[in-house]
Amino acid sequence: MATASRRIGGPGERVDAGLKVTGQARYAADVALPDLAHAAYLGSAIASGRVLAIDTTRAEQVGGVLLILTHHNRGPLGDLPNGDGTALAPDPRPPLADARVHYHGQFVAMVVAESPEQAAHAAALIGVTYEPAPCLVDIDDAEAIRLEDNPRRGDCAAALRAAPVALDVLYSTPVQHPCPLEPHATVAHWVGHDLVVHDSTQWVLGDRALLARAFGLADDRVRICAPFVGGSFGSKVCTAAHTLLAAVAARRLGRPVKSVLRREQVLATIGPRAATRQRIQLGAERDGRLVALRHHTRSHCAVNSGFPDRDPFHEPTSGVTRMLYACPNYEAVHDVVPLHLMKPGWMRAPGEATGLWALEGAMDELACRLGVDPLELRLRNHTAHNAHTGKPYAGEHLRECYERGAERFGWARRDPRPRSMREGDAFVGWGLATATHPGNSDDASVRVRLDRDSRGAYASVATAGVDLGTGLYTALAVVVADALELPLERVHVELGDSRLPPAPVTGGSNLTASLAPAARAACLQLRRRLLGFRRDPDELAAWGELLARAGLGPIEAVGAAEPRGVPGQYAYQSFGAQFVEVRVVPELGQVRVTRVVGVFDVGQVVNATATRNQLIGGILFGLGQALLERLVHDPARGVPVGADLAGYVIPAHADVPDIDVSWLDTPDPAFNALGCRGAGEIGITGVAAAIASAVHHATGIRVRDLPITPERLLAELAGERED
Amino acid sequence: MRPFAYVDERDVAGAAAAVHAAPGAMFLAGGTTLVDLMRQGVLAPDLLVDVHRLPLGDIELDDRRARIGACVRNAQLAEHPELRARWPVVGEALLSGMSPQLRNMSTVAGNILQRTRCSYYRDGHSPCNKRVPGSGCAAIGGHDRDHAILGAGPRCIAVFPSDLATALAILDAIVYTRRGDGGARRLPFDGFHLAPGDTPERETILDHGELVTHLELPTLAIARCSHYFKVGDRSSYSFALASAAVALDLERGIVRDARIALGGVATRPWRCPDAEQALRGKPAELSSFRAAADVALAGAVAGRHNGFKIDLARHVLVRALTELAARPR
Repeated sequence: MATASRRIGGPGERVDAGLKVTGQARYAADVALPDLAHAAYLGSAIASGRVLAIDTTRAEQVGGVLLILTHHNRGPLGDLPNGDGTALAPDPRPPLADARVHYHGQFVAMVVAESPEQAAHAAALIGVTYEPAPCLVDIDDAEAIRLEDNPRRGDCAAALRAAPVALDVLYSTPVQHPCPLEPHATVAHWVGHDLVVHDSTQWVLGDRALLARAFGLADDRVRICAPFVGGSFGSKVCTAAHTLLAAVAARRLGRPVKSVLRREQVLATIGPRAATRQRIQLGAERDGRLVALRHHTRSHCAVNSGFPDRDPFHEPTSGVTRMLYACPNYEAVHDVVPLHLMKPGWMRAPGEATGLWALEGAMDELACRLGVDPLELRLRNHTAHNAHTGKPYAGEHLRECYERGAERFGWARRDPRPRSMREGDAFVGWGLATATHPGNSDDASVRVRLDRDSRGAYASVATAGVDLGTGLYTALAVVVADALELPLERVHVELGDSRLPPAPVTGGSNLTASLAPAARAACLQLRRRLLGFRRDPDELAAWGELLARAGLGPIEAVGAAEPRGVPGQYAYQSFGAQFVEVRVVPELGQVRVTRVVGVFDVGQVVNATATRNQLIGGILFGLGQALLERLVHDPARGVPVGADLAGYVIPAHADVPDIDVSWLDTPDPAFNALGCRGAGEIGITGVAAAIASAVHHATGIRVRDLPITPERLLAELAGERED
Repeated sequence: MRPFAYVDERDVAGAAAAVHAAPGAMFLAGGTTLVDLMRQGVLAPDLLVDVHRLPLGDIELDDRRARIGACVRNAQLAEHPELRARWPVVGEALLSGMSPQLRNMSTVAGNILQRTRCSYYRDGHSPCNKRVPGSGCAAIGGHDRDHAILGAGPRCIAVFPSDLATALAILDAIVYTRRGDGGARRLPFDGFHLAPGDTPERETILDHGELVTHLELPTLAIARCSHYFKVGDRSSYSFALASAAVALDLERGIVRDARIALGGVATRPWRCPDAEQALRGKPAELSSFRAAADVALAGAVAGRHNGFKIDLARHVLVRALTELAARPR
C-alpha cells in the first residue's frame, strides 16, 4: 500500500490513504459498541438570561429514552482544569452547571436514548421557559476591557508624532469558524471504574487530564483514543462540553454513550475565531523604513459566566506585529469585548492570520503612499533577528522566499498603477504579503520497537500524538524507515492513544517538529544497541539477523525530542512570501483568485507530498478568510445565521486557483536533530492581505474589512460614482 | 426528528390519494430538502409518501414540446443534449447551482417546490410566519443580507431559491398535476408560485395532496437563444445573490422580443414583463440593456443589509443580456 518515499523530504502518498478511501479508518463517530446509547442536545433558544423552568414530561414519554440531564440533575463534577496547562475546558463554565445562559445554543438539556432519532425527537419535546436578558453579539456595540499585557519598546507615541510619513488605518475581521468537516464526536464507555473515551480531539492527554479531574480518577484510569481525526483547525484542542456530558451519562446508565454534534451545534457551541478590530499606526522615513508601529486590537471574548476564567482568550494579534519588521518603536494595546457568544478559541494560525491581515494591509498602503514597490518596502524593513526580543533567528531565509517567489510569479513585470491591467471586463491585480509562523515544539516521546518475522525486521512506532488528517502517520513512518533503513511498508505507526508514550497537543504546527526528532532518537538508540552484535564493525548484517543473534526477541526504545544548542540563544521562526493574482469584476462584486505563488522556509521537509498539501490547504484557508468566511449572529437574538455548510461559506473546488507552492531546502539544525519546523499553519498567513492588495491593485478599491464580499465592492463603486 | 410513517407508492393516483387523505402527510422525492428540514424540526410530517419510484422519470420530446416527468433527476435534465440545444437556459440554470451529488438525487418537481434558504425559517425556532403562521418575521430588521428586494411583504421577505424555476419563468412552462380526489390540473408556471402576502406559509397554488406529475416546455423559437447568468458568494454549490434568465429574439441588431426573469432577489420566480417591453424594438446594445435593467429593478425595496442586491441584480441582468447578444447565431 505504502508508496511514500522513505527518504526524508521525498514525495509519496500517505501511508493511511488506503484505510481512509476504503472506509476502514475508524473515526470517533464510527465506533460501535454493544448496548450503545445515543445522545442529543437541546440548545438554548436565548443568548442571554436564565432558564426558569424545564418541562421534560413529554420527552420522557418518548419510546427509547433512557436519561434526560439538565442542570437540576447533572450531578457533581470535579474542578475542571482551567489555565494550568494540563488540559483545556472550552469554557470556564461546566456544561449544565446552572440556570444561566450566556450564548445561543448553549446546552440546556441532554437526552440519551436507544437511537439517535429518539434522542433528537425527545430533545425537541422538552419545554423550556426562559427569562431573557438583553444580548450583545456585535463587537462594535459593546464595552471593552483593556488587558494589562502591553508589549512595547522605545517611545512609540513620540516616534509616531515625529515620523515624516504616518499612516493610521483600521482593519477588521469577522467571527470565523474552524468548521472541520468531521463534526465533534465522542463515544464514552465505562469499564468497571475506568473510563474509555473515543473522541475527536487534538490532544488525548488533555482530554485524559480533564476527564480524570472531572470524575476524581487517577490519570491511568482514563483512556482516550483518537486514531483518526477528520480536521480540527484548533477547534478540538479543548475537551468539549458534549464529551464531558457523554461520560456523565455513560456512567449514570452503565452503558456506552455516543454523542455526535449536529453542524449547527458545532457552529454555536465550539469556540470560533474571535472578531477583531485592529488599528495600525505606522510611522516611517520617506524611504519607507519604519520608525514606529502601534497596534491597537479589540477582539471579542465571552461574557463572565460566573465561573472564574483563569485563561480568558484573546486573539493574539500582536504576536506577529511586534517581531516581523525592524522598527525601533513599538507598542501593542489589546482590548477584549465580552459578547454573548461561545468563548472564542484557536483557529488555524491564531494571531498570525488576523495580525498579518492588518499589518500587511497597512504595509501595502504605505508602499502605495510612498510610491515604493511593496516587495522593496519589505526588504527595506527586513530583519534577521526577532525585532522584539532581539534574538537572532537560527535559520532565517525570508529574502530568498521573496526573491524566488517574485521570480516564479513574474513580479518584476508589475505596473504599480491601480487598474493598469485588464482582461476582457475584468480588472487584474497583483498583490503580495509576508507569511510567518513561529517554529514551535514541545516535550514529546515516541516508542520504536524492532522485531522480526519471516520477512525480516519490522518496526512498530507508537506515540499519543494525534494525526488530524495532516500526515503524521506518514511523517513518522518516513523518519523511522530512514533512520533504520527499512522499507516503508515494514514500519507500522500507532497514534492517538493516551496509553502510548506521551505527546503534546497537536497545535501550533508543533507536532512533526516534536515527534519526528523523538522518533529518530529512538531509532538511533536501537541502532547503537544492535550494531554491537556485529561480528566486526564492517559486517553488513540485516537488523533481523542481528536481532536473532542477540537472542533478545523484540527490542524497543523510547526517544524524546531533546533540546538543542544553548537554551534561549536563538529564535525559531518560519517565513514565506505569498504572491496573488486576482481578477475583479467590480460591478458584479466578484473577486476570483486566479494564481497564487507561495514560497516558504519551513526548515527540513519530512514528506514533500504532505507538506505541499498542508501549504495549499493553508492558502485555501486564507482564500476563505479573504473572500467568504464570516459567522454572523442575529443582532437582536444572538442566533447564528446560516449555521450550516451552505450558509457558512468555505471555498469549493471551483474557487481553487492555480496554486504554486514550493519551499527552500533549508534545515534548521539548531531547532532539532532533523532541522524541521511545522508547515500546518504558515500557509494561511498573509494570504488575505495579499488578496486585498491585489484587489486594490486591480481596482483602486481598498477593502479593510473581511471578507471582501460583493456588497463591499459594490458599495465602494457606488461611492466612486457619487464622488 | 418526529417519528413518521412511510409508504413507498408505485401508482400516481394512489400517491395523491394517500397524501390527500392524511392532513399531516407529505410527498418525498429526492429528499434533499425535505429530509434536512425534518432533521431541523422545521417540517414534521407524520406520513411520507415516497414518489420517487413512480413512472414519472422520463423526458419526452417532440416538435411541439418537451414533457418532463416530475421525478426526472436534475442531473438528467441538465445533461439532456436536445434540451440543451432547444432550451439552453434550463441546463445552464441547473449547472449553476447544487453539487453533482445533489443534482443526482434531487428531482425536477422537488426543485421548483424547494423551500427558502432563509436562515430564520430553517433554524426551526426563530419567529417565522412561513414556518409558524402569525409568529412574526425575524428576518425583517434582522440579518437580511440574503433576502428579497422584490415581491416582499410585511410578513415575509424570504427568497425563493430555485435557479431552475427562474429559467422556467421565461419559457411559458406548464405544470401538470394529479389531485388527491382523482382530478388533474394544467397550471401555467406564471402564477404557480404565490407572493407571500398574508399567507407566506403557502408557497404555490397546489392543494394538499396535489402531486406534480409533469412539466411541459412548449417549443419556443426564442428559447433557443436563452441564457442564465448567476452571481453567488462562491463559484459553485452556492445559492444566487442575483441571477437572470434571459432570452432574445434579434433581427439585424434590433430586439424583436425578449424574455427576462430574475432569481435570488425575489420571493418567487420573478418575470419582468415591463423590462421585456422596454427592450422590444431597441438596439441590442449596452444602453438598451441598462435601461431595461433599470425598469426591472424599479420596484425593488432594500432592507438593512440587502441593498447591494439592487445594483447587483441590475448588473447581472445587463451582463446576461450582453453575453447572450454577443453569442454567435
